Parts: sequence; structure tokens; C-alpha cells
Amino acid sequence: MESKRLGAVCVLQILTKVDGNSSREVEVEISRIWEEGNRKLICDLSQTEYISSAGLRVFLSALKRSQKAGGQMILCGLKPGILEIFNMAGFTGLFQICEREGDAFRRFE
Amino acid sequence: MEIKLIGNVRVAVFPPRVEAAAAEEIKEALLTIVATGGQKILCDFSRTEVVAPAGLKAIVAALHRIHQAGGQMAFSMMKPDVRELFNEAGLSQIFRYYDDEEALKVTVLKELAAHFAHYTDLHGVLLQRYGEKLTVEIYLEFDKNQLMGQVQKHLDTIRAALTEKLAVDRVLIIPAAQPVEGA
Repeated sequence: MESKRLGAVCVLQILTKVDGNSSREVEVEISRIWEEGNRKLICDLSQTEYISSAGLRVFLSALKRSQKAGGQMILCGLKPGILEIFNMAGFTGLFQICEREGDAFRRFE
Repeated sequence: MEIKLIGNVRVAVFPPRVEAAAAEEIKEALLTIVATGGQKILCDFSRTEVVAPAGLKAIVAALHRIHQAGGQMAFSMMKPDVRELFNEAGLSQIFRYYDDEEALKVTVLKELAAHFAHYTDLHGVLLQRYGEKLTVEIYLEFDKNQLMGQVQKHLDTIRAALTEKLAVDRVLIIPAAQPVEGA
């Protein structure tokens, strides 16, 4: 998984498919970012075509860990299908979601 | 027949025996959903042991009418015998089987999202079958400084909400401090 750092912000490119097999990789990567002392994370889902319940679980857990670490996590670039799944799971009220990466940068406090 | 509303999907929980006596009532219930604007129907067969020819006929009739009205109907949680009956009747081509396990887990996650403040981490959701009993296992981490009584209260609230929404025999919430294998 690719990640880049722009100033104090870490941008993580989420996989094309986040399912039972690959979700663990996403979980480990996000944990690593917090452990390295980062406090601002953008998860870029613009390449993500599919997310299963296992993937949703990882995002819910990641949000918990971001709060524990005193950090802020923002999601961006969700395709309509992915956004619908987030909506169906009742996640849209819980997560900070932006259309574009630039919007996400401006949302950081 | 019990009808639950989950999101914009009407979940029709089918009785243990879908026979002549119940068939007409089931057909009417399904058509009433469509007539009142419900476009998506998920037929939950988790409790169904027997589907008689009359039951099958009623379901097919309802399906045709629902399609005509632009609605969708999907099946979930069918026991092997029942599923085989539908396949034998050549209906596997017509019906779209819903991915049961995924649908269930998304419902669990939705409830956990609604209770987000009441736990500190989510380590896994597993669907297990112990004999005939279908069990959902949810591995949650709670605040170490919380009193056991408080944890118990949150746990009971989440479990009660899920027991009402899920077509499973048992909902188990298990305190955990690390990721669970396979979940």
C-alpha cells in the first residue's frame, strides 16, 4: 500500500479491494501510521472498487484508534457504490468524509 | 408473517412451514409490501424447514407480480433442503441469492456504529454455526477503567438491539483486547 506525507498530513492510498483477505493489511498499515506518531490521516479511497464487511470493520476500528491516539482521520474519494455501502452501514454520520483530497486537507483542525 | 424494516429493505421472516394453509397469507403479505411502496424484499428463510408445492407456487406468483411492479426480491438463510427444492424447481436461475453472511455482518456493524461511544475497539465479527444454532460472535474491547457493571450494561443494550434485528439464534458479545483470527 502506498502512503505519502504532505507536511503533517499522512495520505494513505486504500487498496482496490478491501475484503476478508486484504483488510488485515489496511488495518496494520493504519496502526503503523498512528504508532509512528502521525496525528492527521487521509484515507484516499478513490481506487477502491469493493469493500466487504471485513473492510468496514477495519475502518470502524481505525476510527476508534485514531481517537485513542488523539488523531484525526478523514476519508476521501469514495466512489458512489462505496459511499452507498458506508451509508448502509450507518457510517456516514460517524466518519468525516470529503469528496476530494484537497477538501480533506482543509477539514483538519 | 413478521416483516422487519432494515434500511430501505423489507425483511419478510418466513414461518417454519410454508404449506397450503400459510401460502396464500404469505403471498398477500408480500404483495402488500409492494403495494405500499416497498421495492426491495428480502425473504428470510432461516426458520423455514418445509416448503410445500403450494408454498412454492405462492412465492413464484408473488415474485412475478413484484417484478412487474419494478420491485426486487431476494432470498436469504435457506436451509439446504429448502434451497435444493428451489433449485429442483428450476428457480435458481430466476432467484438472486443474497449473500447472507455479508448482509448479517453489515447489520451488526450498523448497530455497532450506532453504539460507537460504548466500546473502545472492535476486534472482529464472526458468524458461527454450532449444530443447528446460528451464532453471531462480536469481539469488543471496553475501557479498562470502566466498572464491570457499566460494561455489562452497554453489552446488554447492544445485544438486545441485535437480537431483535438479526435472524440468528444467539448473539454473543465477547470482551477482547486483540484482533481475533478469522474475524
